[in-house]
Amino acid sequence: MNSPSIDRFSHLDSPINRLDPRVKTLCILAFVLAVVLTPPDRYAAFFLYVVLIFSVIFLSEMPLSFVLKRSLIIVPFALMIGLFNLFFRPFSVFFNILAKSWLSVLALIVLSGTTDFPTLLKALESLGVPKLLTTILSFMYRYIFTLIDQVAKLERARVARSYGRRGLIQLRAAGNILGSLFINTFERGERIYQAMLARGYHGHAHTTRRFTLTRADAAFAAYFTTALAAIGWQAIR
Amino acid sequence: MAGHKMSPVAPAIELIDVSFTYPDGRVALRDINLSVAPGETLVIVGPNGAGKSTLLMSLNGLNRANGSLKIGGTAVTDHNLPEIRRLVGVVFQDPDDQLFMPTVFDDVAFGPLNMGLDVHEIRHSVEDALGLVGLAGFQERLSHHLSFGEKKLVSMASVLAMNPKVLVMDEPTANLDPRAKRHLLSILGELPQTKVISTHDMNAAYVLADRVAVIYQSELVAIGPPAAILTDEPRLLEYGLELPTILGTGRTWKTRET
Repeated sequence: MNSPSIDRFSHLDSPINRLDPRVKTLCILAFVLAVVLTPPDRYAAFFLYVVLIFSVIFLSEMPLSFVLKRSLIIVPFALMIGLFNLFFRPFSVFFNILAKSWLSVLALIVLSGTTDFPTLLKALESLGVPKLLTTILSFMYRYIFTLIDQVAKLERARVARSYGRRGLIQLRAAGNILGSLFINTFERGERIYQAMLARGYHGHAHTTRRFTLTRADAAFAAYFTTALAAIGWQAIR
Repeated sequence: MAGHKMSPVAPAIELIDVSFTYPDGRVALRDINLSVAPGETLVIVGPNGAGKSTLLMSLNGLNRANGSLKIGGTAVTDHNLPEIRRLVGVVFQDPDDQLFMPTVFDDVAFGPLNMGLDVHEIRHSVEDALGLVGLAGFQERLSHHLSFGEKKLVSMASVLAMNPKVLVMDEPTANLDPRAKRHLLSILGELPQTKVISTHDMNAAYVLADRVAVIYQSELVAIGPPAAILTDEPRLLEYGLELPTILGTGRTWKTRET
């Protein structure tokens, strides 16, 4: 099993990794909100946002290449919407779409890259995100790898029997793979539910972890929100 | 061998005329009568589709069978289900079904949390359970990064953490490599719980069992000590089974080693 995971660098012991996940989540949320609410033509503000988020990325000790490569994932989507707008709207709108989506994605990479996913979910929970939602996400995180493995197996079995034929037949095989994956997943869901019942599950899961705020959390929150407020203020002034 | 004869205490498991029919009308169990003494290990053998898993899943009420089913004197009824689920720990065949939480700690803590233990007790029971299966210190590992053998052991720990009186296991040695299998069997041999284990592995059955039960076409067709059941080659073949290879092939049987 060597599926890439989103929290690959969560084991690093950087100042950002050590922060209380709740503080990180709230700061990043504030950042995304500020970026999205900034008027499109405030180029200086966007430049400062970039500086701010990269100061955090630098502190997080994540390899820059990893962060940049990962942030490209948003480009196709943003570019498509952006280009479409380019026909009807001024250039600043195009820039606005690209800049805002890229900055938001960078911020989320900081959050998800420096926090291991289970901890992130617990942080969301303690911030009041409904338990049902976090449970669904935790199942997704747990089983996405199992699913990827299963797809790989089905695909290997298909390749082993199809001698490089192309075209419609391939498409049909892909449909069958999807169907069989769906059935597999559905049945696994039932078995998992049985396993949960067998261990006393009765409708709501409980959790243990408690977080504690430290001075470093306060320092980071102060730095980040002050910088954010300053940038935001000069942008709307 | 546990003293299941004339035991003064209530049997750990008692089934009287237990039947189960699937919603589509297919009969999976027919009039099963069975009693298991505290601390006894009962191994259930039988071909695929005979009803082994159905029987196991009835023991903690996941399948609601007809007839009288008692665990340590407590009847399996809707009302008693929480109690029954605490008494009967089930280790499923595919550990990927059982380990549904992201980390090993969360998974092993799942049962104790549902039992309403406090944080301190939970940490302890997780630590103890992982220690029992030889995986001390695995708390923060991610379930999907474990090897199959490790997943199997964590599945066991996740059940042992609830401190069940009865341990139910569906084909525990399936898909394990020989070393992992030996490790698992030695752990099982040392656990004090009453155990009900289904398997296709005749050798494991021979080594583990105090008694062996044969399920064939939804019925309990034979039950007795392994030296009696697992040495009767003609009947084993009739039931779609085979002699344990540790007995040697043909008619040269070694005595049982434990």
